[in-house]
Amino acid sequence: MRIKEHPILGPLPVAKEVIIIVDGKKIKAYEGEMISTAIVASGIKTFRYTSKKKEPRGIFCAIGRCTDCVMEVNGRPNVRTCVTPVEDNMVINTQEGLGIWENWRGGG
Amino acid sequence: MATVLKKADVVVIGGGAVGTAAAYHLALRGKKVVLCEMRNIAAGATGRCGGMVVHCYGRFLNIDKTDYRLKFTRANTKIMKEYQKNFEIDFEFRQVGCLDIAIDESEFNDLKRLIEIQRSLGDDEIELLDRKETLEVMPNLNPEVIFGSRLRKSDGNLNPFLLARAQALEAQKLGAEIVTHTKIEEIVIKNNEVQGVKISDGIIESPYVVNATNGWASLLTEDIEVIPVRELAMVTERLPELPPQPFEMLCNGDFAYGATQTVSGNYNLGGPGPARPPDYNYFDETIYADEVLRVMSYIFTIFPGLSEVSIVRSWVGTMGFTPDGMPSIGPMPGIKGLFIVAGFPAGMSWAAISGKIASEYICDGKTSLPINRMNPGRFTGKPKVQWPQPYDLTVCHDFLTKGA
Repeated sequence: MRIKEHPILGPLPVAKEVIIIVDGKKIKAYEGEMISTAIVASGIKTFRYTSKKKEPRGIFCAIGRCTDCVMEVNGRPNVRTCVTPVEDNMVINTQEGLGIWENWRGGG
Repeated sequence: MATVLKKADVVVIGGGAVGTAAAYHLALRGKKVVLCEMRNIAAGATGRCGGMVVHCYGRFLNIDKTDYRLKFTRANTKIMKEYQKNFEIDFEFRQVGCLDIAIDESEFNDLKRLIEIQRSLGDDEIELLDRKETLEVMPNLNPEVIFGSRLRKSDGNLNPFLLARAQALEAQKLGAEIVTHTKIEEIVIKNNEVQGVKISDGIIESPYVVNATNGWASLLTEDIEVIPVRELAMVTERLPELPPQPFEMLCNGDFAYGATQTVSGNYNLGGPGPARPPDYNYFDETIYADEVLRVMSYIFTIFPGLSEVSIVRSWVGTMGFTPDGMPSIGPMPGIKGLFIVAGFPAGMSWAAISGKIASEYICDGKTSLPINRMNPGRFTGKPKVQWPQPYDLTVCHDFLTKGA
C-alpha cells in the first residue's frame, strides 16, 4: 500500500528491510520510515483505544501534534508513531487508554 | 465628551477566578454587573497556575496569621462545595491533600517548628510526616531525597479554567454581562467618588468598581501596591492515575509548587521565573529554555518518575503579591465606590470567598469575616518596599521572613 512512485516526490528510496513486531505479529518495514507508515501499509488501521469510551483511533494529523496515533513502543506508552522511525525488532502494541507504564524501564 | 456606552450597578475589572467570583456573588444579590476583561476569561494567573488549593500557603510568611487565614480559606472551600452541588460546570475540585516536602534535616526541623506554631494558633489539621509516612502517602517520591513533609488533608486541586468559567456562566445566567478583550484605560474618579470606567470606545457608568486584576492591579490603582511576580509552569503528557497528592516544596531554597495531577491525567508542574535583565519585565510571558530546565531538574529530583515522561507544553504567567504577603481585600480608603480584591499568591483558595466578601461589602456595607488585616490602604504613606532585583516568589518570601 505504499506509494512506490510519487508524481512530485519521485520513487521510494531504496532502504534496508527490517522487522517490527506489532501485537505479537511480525510486520515488514523499511529503515527510515515511520512506525505508522509500516503499520498502515500492512493493513492495520486501529492503533489504540480511547480511555473513556474505548473507541478506536489511528492516523489523524500525521505530523506529531494530535496524539491520535500513539502506541506502546518497546514498553513505553504515548509514543507518537507518525514521527518515530522504525527500528529492527521494535516491539509495538496497541495502547489501551493511557497505557501501562510498568513495563518501561526508562531511557529517553 | 466621552460616550456613555452603558450603565451598571457594579463594574468588575478582571476575568479570573476572583473577578468572576465577584461578578457571580454580586449578580446573586441582584446587582447589574458588567465584568470587563482585558483578554479572555482566565487569561491571567488563573489560567496559568497549578490549580492548587492550599488553605495555608507558604511557610514562615504570615504564619502568625494562621487562624485568621484559615477562616477565609475554609469558608472558601465551603463555598466551592456548594458550587459543586449547584453549578452547571464541574470544576474538578478534589480534596486530595497537599504535601509540603523537606529534603534535608534542617528543612524538616523548620517544618516541625512551623507545625508547632500553627497548632498553637488553633490549626487542628496540619500533620507532620516522617520519611516513611511521606512515602506511604506518595510512593512515587524519591526516597533518597525525602526527609519528611507537612500534610493538610483538606488541601487539593481544581481546574482553574473551569472554575472561572463556571462562575462566569452562573453570573451570566443571573444577568451579569461579561465583556472580554476590553481593556480598562482608567477608573473614572471625580471628587473622590467613582463614576465608572473608561474603555477605548467610551465610558461605562457605575457607582461601584471592583479592581480584581491581581498582577495588574497597581496599574489601575497606584496606591494599593500589588507587585507582579513571574512564574513558570508546564504540563506533561497524560499518565495513568498516580496517588494524586499535589505537592509544594522548597528545593535548594527555591520554591517550586511541585506537581499536581489533573483529572485528565496530565501532570502540571511549576516553579519560579524571576524576570530577566535589563528591563526586568514581570509581565514577560516568553518561555526561556534555561528556566524550564531549571524547574524541571528540581521537580525530577523529588519525583524521579516524571523525568521519564514528555513535557507537552510550557508557559509563563504573572501573579500578584503584596508588600506583606497578605491579599488586599476591601474598600479603597478615601475613595467612595472602589473595592479592591487583588494580590493572591494562592488564588484558588481565596477566589470564591473574596468574591462573596466583595458582594457583601457593596450590598450590605459590612462583611461576614473581618477584612481589617487586608485593608488595601495599609501601605499608603509607608516607604515603598525595595525588592531585590530580580525577585521571584521565593525571594519575596525570604525577604519578608528574614531570620525567621
